[in-house]
Amino acid sequence: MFNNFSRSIGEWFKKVGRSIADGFRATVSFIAHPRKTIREAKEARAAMINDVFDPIEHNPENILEVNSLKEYFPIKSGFLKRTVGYVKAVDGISFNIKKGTTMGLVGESGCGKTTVGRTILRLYPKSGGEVLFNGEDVNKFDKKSLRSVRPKMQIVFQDPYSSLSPRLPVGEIIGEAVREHNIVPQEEFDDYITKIMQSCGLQEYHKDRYPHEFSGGQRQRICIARALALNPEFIVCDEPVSALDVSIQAQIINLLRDLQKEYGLTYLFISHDLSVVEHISDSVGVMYLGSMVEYAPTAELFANPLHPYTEALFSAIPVPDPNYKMNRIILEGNIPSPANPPSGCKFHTRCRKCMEVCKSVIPKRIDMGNDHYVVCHLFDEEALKLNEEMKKDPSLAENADKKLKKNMKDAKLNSTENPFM
Amino acid sequence: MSKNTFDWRKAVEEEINKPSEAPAPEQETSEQIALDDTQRIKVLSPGRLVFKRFIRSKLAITGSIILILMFVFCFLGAAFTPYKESDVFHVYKYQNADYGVAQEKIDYDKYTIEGAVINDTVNAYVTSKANEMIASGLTSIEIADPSGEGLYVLCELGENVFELRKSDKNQIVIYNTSGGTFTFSLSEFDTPEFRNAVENLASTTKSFTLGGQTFLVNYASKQFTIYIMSEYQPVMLATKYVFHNYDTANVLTDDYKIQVLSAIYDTGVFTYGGKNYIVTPDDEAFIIKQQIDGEYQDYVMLMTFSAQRSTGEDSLSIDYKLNLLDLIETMESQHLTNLEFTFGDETFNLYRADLSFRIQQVQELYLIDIFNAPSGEHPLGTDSNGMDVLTRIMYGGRISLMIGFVVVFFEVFIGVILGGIAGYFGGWIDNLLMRLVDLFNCLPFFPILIMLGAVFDKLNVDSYMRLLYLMIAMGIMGWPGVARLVRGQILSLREQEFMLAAEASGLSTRRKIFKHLVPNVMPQLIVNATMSLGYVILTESTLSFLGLGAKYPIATWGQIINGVKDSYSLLHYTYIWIPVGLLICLAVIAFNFVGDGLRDAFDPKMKR
Repeated sequence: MFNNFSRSIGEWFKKVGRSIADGFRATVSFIAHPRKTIREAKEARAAMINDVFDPIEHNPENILEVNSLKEYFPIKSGFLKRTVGYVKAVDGISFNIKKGTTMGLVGESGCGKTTVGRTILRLYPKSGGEVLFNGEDVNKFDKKSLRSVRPKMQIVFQDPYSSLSPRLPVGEIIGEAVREHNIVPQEEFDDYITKIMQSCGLQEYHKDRYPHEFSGGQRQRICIARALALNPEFIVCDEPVSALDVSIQAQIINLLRDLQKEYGLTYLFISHDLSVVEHISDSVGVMYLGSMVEYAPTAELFANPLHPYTEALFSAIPVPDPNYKMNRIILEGNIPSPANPPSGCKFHTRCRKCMEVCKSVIPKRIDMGNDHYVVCHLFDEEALKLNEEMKKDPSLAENADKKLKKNMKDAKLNSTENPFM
Repeated sequence: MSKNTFDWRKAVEEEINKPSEAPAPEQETSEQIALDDTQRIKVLSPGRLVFKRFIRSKLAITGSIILILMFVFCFLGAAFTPYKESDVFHVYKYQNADYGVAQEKIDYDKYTIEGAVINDTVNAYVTSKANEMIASGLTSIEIADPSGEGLYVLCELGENVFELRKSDKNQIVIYNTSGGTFTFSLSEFDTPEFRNAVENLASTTKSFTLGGQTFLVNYASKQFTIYIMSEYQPVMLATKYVFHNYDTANVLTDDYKIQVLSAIYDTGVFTYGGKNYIVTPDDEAFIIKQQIDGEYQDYVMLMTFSAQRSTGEDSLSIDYKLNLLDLIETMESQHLTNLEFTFGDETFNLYRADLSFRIQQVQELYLIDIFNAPSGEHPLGTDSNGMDVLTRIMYGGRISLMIGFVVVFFEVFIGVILGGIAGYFGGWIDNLLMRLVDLFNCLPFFPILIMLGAVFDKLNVDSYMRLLYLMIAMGIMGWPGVARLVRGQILSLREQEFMLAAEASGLSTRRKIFKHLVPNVMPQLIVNATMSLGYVILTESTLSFLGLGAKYPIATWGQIINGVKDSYSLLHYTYIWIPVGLLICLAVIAFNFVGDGLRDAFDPKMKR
């Protein structure tokens, strides 16, 4: 026991000593070659984030184009709070949304759906990739032009309780940004707010009330009204109905659909509820651990899920028929840590169709026709061949493991291939 | 963009027109039974809701009423009192003050003749030897001089007057027996007879006589020293008589007194300073008359009776003194110890004290009315400065109550700005400001104020400026708490989704801070500020009590208590400190009640 104790103390001293030495070295090198040090630090960070992508060309049909978007949250530790790693919340996601359509984004909790939505709106600073809104890079706006673009892309939050300031009356919550951006002339302001509220199913006399006087459904309507009041072109609906009961969910979903029809809105509908997504979306992307594993038009995807994860996900959709026998695919284990995702295919740890090749080689996106894309080795003939070779010669797998880092560098090239262009 | 807006609004109008047509037929039936929100719930803003909840709390209402009464008492009450804050009250008091002392003389006044040298021991013996002479009936008595330099004789010149005379010992010759040499200091004695007589002296001889004269001999180390005594000369006069001037403005010199004393039992006539005087005996006393323009006028009276003012001046008139003498005789004969008498317009009280008699007079004194017990004029009495305590409490309350608001204003002003900056911007700014807060929390509050007090004392800072500096100092010492509170609140609010929504709406930073963050911090801030109002009042009272806060003549509650800080005052002048103490307690309790009430009222979990 004493040995353990002394060893742990020794390790602690080593750790502290190393951290102090690192700090000292960094300081000395900064004093000696400030520019070189800063450049090296930037390079080191860039290497960790691996932000390499081919710029995309804008297609006027698309309102939103997301290319290799990465959102890494730094993990800081040690005495000097140095960045030792990143939580890869969004790890190279690419998709496009056409004007006037709805794209659903599904996945289990913690897979990075919400982060995607917020990073698109630049509520979080991105780590890599690009987001084009009407052909303009969202992350390249300066403060002034960003503020002028803000009203065009709005967000409805998941929690209608914390997303409304408790000390402002509803009329002010909905109208303050309208006034800020001068969307309507001053004399039409009151009428405009009334109209918006009524179109969202709120009454005029609700204007002077405060959020605590409303039910959850009404609050969600207030949130939607706040987003709509700015006359947006694109709305990120971040699980807008998951906090509500089913009857209210239907109201809100129908409201969103009606508004879309009337005003030609574009939605990015983030949800973990597949039936809701099926109901509202034109196309659906399935996310797992920060990456998109499958993308297809709604009907195509629900009729023909290809990726094992999508299959497992869809097997959990309840069917309103007591005689129907569900054939559930149960995923074992927990979702891995996004700070240290598994090598090869990120899903291989929980995949029931896992092959040797999945453990070491990163899968490519495969175009299955019908605008249906999947990222899985099962549908990649080259990968299947490689798998056969690996079965015969296990050393190949070992080599692959050893050359993983090299492969990772090669994988840069893979990631430049935008799977969902 | 503008085209889009146009479509949008047009569409909205259509949307509104549609439902207005549809529910129209339903209205008639649904209007009366519908659970319409407009009829059911009265809309209240959060502020009014808080007010409603606040009113329902009994303690908070009690606290508010106490505070309101206190403010009315201090701010309006002071306007109605007839006194000012620092009016000092005076009072007339009557008391028997010592006026004078009268006594029959028992000791002797001594007047030394100018130029005479008297041995101290002899001088001390004069009184006792004089008394011895009176007892034994001798007219002269020798007083031994321990130094042996001369001979003293005390002679009685007459009743109560004694003269001390001195005969000096003069050295005339020194005869050395081993060499047979003579050294004469007076050559008139250098005669063969004298030399012969000296040569034949024996070593034991003390004196010898030659030619009718006596010589003293001293033999030591083989040489004779021969002395002769001179004639007796008066050196001092001792008397029981006291000189009483007819004109109290006159001052008699010792020289004059010696002239008088040597004249009274002699010729009775003398001249002094170019003027003639005559002594007239008058029934145990003598009256000295001065000759002015050929007529004799009363000038000085000699009596064995003395009467003086208790200050030691001899300013009583001769008539007063004679009157006093009669009264004392009356008292002696009737064995009285106390006698009241009138002389002129004034009333005096004469009473016996051992051998002397004391004269007392009732005096009117104009005094500052300190520590006066409660009365109709001063309902709570007066304090150690003779000021009305009730008025002081009113004026003191103004400062004691206001000081809290000023200090809390400083605290909140600095605290909200720095805490807000730290909370909103975070990062290294937050780190820096919070370390500053830690630093201020490390500073010892009381020692710093004690030092400040000492510095103000040294610099003679004006009372009101001192109070202002004190308030600023207390504000500066108090802001870290507010800053921490605001920072914590803003840190948690910043992560709320409505702030993200505000960001997504493209609101300006100013609007985000003042419309979204500040109103949400206000409740806690108000509660905190209200609570610290009471604390500040308490601190100010403590500081003033310790003499570091407000100084005379400014009144604060602590300063009033400061007037009675020793155990005697605490026990005997309870009417000064108990009412103020109660007021301080009440004010602090009331502020705490209001603070508690506000905290409960701001708590959204409370039912409305």
